[in-house]
Amino acid sequence: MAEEKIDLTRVAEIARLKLSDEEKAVISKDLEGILGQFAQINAIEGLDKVEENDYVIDGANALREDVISECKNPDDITKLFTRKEGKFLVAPKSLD
Amino acid sequence: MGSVTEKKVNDLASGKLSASENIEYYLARITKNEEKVKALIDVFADDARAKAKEIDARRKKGEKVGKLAGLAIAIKNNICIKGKRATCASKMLENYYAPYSATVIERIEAADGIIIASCNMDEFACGSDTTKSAFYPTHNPHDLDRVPGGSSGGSAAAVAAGFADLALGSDTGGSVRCPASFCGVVGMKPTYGTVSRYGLIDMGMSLDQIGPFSPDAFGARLLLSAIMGPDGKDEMCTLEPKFEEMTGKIEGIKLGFPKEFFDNADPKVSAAVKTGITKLERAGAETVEVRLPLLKHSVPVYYLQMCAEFSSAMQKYDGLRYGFPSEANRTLVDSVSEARSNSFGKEIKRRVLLGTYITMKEHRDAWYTKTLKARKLVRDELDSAFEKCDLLVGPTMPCLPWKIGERSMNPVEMYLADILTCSANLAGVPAASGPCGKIDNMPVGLQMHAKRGEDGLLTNALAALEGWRPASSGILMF
Repeated sequence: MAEEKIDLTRVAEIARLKLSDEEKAVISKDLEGILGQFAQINAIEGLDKVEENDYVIDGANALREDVISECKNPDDITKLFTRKEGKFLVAPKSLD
Repeated sequence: MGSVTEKKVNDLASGKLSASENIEYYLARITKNEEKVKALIDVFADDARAKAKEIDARRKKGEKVGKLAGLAIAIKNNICIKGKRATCASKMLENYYAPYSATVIERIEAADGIIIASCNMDEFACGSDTTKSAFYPTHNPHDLDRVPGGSSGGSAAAVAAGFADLALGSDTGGSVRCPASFCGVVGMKPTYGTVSRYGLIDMGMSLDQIGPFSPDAFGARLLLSAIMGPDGKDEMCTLEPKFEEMTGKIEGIKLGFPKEFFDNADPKVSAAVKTGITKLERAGAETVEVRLPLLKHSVPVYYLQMCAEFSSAMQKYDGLRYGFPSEANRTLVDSVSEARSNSFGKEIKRRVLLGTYITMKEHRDAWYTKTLKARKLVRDELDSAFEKCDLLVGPTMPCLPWKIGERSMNPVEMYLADILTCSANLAGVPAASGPCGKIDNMPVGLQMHAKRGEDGLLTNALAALEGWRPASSGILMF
């Protein structure tokens, strides 16, 4: 795999991280170094013959009955909101 | 020969020691030595005393008590305890008070275990030495200038320093086994799917497992028996491991001896571990040679998989429901981005960005898809090795604990510390570290892996390593 040059601007935007120019420079170099070394996985024999494995253990996920219940402690949750009005979380507007 | 924890359990059961006396003993040790070790985040002195008093009263009336009754247990601070801070050693969650308890906490409390403190860790479990905590580094009780390992370093140090009988940590790539090795205690990562992750603040959800720390195999097994088992609140927790009676006997057990484990370790560490393996052979086990050629790829496969999952896990920390809102709240995206940047440490940002990069549409096939395929090959290789043996043995860590601050900031050099531990998480098999000697007064850990579900065999082999036999007047609580 050719050496990857990473432009963090778009990646940071998706990751919702605001980075200074200095941070971008340092972390870009870190990630290029990491991926440069990690590219060794391409040398693993038989990689192209294998299915992706998302599952660590065999078997289906456990299901439970779809039963309506009430939240017993809404106050314990809302008291943690950093800004709130009544029981509502206050957030900045999402549209300009 | 019995064990420290077994004696403690028997003394509590017989009334020779009360729960209150046990808790006061540990609180005094914390007062005396915590300032030097810095293993803990919060100490729950009042709650622990109240619970101890209640257990003593019930015992006095002749009422039945749980298998952990009176034991002091410390908890890694990424496991939620209702009403207590769950900080993950991060500024982001510095003032987050858990609104519910994790399943493992409910099970400990139902068994009358007494939760005495929360433990320091690397921030959001991102590290191998507990120096990445946003609060302070933890020090190894054996040498205060050295690291205790990580990311569950606080939990391991708490047991090693005598702040608690037992502790819980979480293991995503070695974060229980590494500090167990460095602190000279037993630490275990159970089979994936046997211990509920409900209430564990996740790092990599296909890799994380909560596991016990103890001075000995008996204690690790006792705590594990209390917390394991299916839980409807964790959709992957559906398995019951095999847990036959613990005898300390391992005649006829085949120990797989992969040269790759030893090729990647310091020669002095390898020599100490081989001494431990000789002890197991004298106890009746046989060694067979196995090969793990994919071991050299385990670190990249693990880190790519983990970072992909970690970047997803971290998306919820937005400075609104968690953390501190930024002042720049022109738009939601700006506000969230700034809050996250202000509250995450450097290693968190690096892993989030790496995970985001490799899962972006234009990079997914080149990186993440290949990682998933490589993971299957690593898992298949371990399964093949287990056709020839019952346990795989080798060093837990490739080196001795380094000095605090010594490890360079080269991230790949840091990540390579996980080379011997991360395969177990990739394959979902149980693995544990038990002390097997010391070099220059620093503990060395011997690691064993077992087949999925053979957690009982693993604890039995750890007991054999200690030379444990059931105490003649022992009251086995499980």
